[in-house]
Amino acid sequence: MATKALDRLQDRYPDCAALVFADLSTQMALITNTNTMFRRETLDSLCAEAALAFGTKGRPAIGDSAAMTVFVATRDHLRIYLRSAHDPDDALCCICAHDTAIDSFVKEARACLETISHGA
Amino acid sequence: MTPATKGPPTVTDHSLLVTRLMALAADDSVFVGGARVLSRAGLPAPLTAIITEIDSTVLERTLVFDIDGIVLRMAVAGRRLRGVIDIAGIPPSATALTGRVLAQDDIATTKTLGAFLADVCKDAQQVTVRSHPAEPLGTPSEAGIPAASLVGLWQVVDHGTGQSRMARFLAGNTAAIPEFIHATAGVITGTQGDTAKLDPIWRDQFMAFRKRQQAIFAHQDGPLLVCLDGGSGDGHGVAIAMTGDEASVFTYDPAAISAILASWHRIAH
Repeated sequence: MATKALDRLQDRYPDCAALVFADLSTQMALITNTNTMFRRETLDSLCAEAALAFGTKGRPAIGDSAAMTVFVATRDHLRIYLRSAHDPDDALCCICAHDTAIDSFVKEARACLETISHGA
Repeated sequence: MTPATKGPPTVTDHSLLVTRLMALAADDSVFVGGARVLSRAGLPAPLTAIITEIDSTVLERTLVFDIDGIVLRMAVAGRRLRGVIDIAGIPPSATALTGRVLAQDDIATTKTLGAFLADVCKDAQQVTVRSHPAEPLGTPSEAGIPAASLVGLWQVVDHGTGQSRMARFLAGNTAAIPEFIHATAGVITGTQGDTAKLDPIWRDQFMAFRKRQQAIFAHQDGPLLVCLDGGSGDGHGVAIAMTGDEASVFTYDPAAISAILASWHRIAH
């Protein structure tokens, strides 16, 4: 079910090259969309960056309040991380294109994340 | 098309066709009234955008630049500016620059044109271009000035308007960025708003985050922007950004994240 949810999201946003449901406490990629082309190491790096950005033990890496969404724009990609409201250790890590429709993507990605988090 | 309109294509038909083909070929371009937007709110730098457009034009064309209502028709070919055909929307004095082919042995005219354009572009909010069929200017043997030379003659550097990339990014998003710290080579060169919440981020968290992030993505170079939607605790997000030897820490309106990312992408590429 979780993979199908990620695949459905990827179908809606085909420019998003990777969608990874991750556990921030262990920094592990748990499930990805079916056709991601990225290697395991890259997916693990995504999880590590998400854990770094959201912070550990209630201490964010930047600022003094917890974030629910993080955007990392590099020359090549836009990485978007969403943390679940249901379980703060659950996160969705996404590698998107720079021209992804951010507002609608984040809305749908969050719904996808919460669905998976509730079912996990 | 109705039968009554069939017949050989006219110049107008060709212009429409060129406009449509350009629109199809450049799917990430923005068009306003059929003209392609080169620069908006100073991004990218208008004069740089104009030179880039000249540099992209290989076939002989008339490029019609509209700079906030001042319309310049330029003869361009072979990635060279041959000259300004005419200018509309300004006092007649500038017409001394029109109707003549720019030449390597008369650099002063090219420099004067550069100074004029720099003045026109200084606070330009929007620059658009249309590509029309070539109109005669001078003789075919008069090649004009290469776009690459215009960069030096018009003293257009990467920063274009004289502002750095980071400064332009921050200035271009003032409505969405209420507070910022801007640093160059590690030295704070500008601030805006109440930076009390940003000071500890700049002092204690920025480099620590950057080092840990570089350890994760070791081969990631180039500009970087990291935005956290809830980092400031007052409804604003917090962000760090770096490009070259410049860095900034700022708060932002989370509702404007899409515009901020788009603006950064334009700056960083």
